[in-house]
Amino acid sequence: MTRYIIRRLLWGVVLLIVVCALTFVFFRVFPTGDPAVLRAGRDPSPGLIREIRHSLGLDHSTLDQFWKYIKGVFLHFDLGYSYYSRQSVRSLIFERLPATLSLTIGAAVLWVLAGLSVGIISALRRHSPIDRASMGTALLLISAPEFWLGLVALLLFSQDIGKFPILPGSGTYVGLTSDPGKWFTSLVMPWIVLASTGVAIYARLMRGSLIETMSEDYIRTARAKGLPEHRVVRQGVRASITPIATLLPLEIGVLLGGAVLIETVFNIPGVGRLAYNAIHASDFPVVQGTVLLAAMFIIAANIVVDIIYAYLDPRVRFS
Amino acid sequence: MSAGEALLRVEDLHVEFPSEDGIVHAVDGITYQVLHGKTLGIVGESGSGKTVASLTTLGLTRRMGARISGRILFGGRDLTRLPEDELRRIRGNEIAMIFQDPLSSLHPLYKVGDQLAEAVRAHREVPKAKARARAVELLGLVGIPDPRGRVDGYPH
Repeated sequence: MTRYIIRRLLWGVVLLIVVCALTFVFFRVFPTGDPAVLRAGRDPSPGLIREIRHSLGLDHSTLDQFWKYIKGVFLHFDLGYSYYSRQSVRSLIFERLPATLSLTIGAAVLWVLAGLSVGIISALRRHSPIDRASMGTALLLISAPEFWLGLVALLLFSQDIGKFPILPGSGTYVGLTSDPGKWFTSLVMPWIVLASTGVAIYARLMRGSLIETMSEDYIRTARAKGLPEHRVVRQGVRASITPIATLLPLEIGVLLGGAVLIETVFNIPGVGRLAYNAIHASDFPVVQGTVLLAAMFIIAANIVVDIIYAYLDPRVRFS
Repeated sequence: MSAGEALLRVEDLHVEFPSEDGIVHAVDGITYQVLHGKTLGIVGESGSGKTVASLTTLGLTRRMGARISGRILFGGRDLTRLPEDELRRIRGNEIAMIFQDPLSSLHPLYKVGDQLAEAVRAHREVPKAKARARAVELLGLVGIPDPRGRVDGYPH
């Protein structure tokens, strides 16, 4: 088991280097706008551009820049400096990380809890009105884009522009440590909107998986033993959750991608909005830092889930 | 109960499943009785309804949407009319069913011993350790080598 974990961690590091290389190619080799020109203002002299180029380190070859960057990342966890604010990318990200973690962790919890329980209830009450209603809603949520749902939610429920002003609207986020109550209420809408697609997908997956499991022979055996129905269901849930758990790490990426949009719609000062603004401003070091951070989360989550999976399903552990 | 009296009497049992292609007559009027202390074998081709008839005795075809008529008399009660909760107390306690394929009939994620012990504990208030000891004993009784080691194994 330990060897398995170590092997997975080493592969994680290799993957991170590949991600670094890819973002470097995407954002520096295919130029979306010369950052030196953008910074220089209107009608710059060639000398000024050259000077800025030098100060940003853009006058070295791409390979040199890449090597310097990789060294910085892996030796000092140094992600470089923003072309615009001159602040270190690491501190820019860390300042905004709590907001993004609040948003994504809350949404993930809601995603899993609501998704799985709706799916279980639907599967056990198949073809009932409650099953039809939740599966219908699920289809609707899967089809609706998140940023649109976010705008609709704001129009309906936010205290500034909403028809039913019951929740704080856009730009009301406060840190957990400064006011837990306001932190919670300001995140209710973003959580629900960010989790909506996931809840819908997981409810459908869980429903399908549990319905299939409940027709397995070993469920018939459990009933034939005279086990109470709730224990029979528990065995069914246990068997049907495992395949769904393996899908979870893939969703971290979806969640982080969604966070970019939700943070923009709800004006939450998180890493997602930092990335969004950086892309607009061609601020490569910031874009690269946020992409790398997202990749790190995704890789870490994959490793964690593989370990949990090995623990849950003995067939994985021993093979 | 006197010798010769029927332990289980199945009278004119019909089991039908409504399906998209019309009604499937799985069991079409079977009548038999099992006498005390006797063994009864039912032989037939696959698909002839042996399994469905036996599952119906335990009330396990109800949730498959089966339409059942006829009577299944056991201990003076008609099992086809018994509420689910009372049937549950008979299942695995007074009437048990042994399924064919252990690999698909046992839960892949639970230990063999736990799956046996839970059947014991479903009907009798016994401590876990005692139920486990009983599981070891049962494995030994059916001639499985190393029952003590096998209880902690998984079905596969």
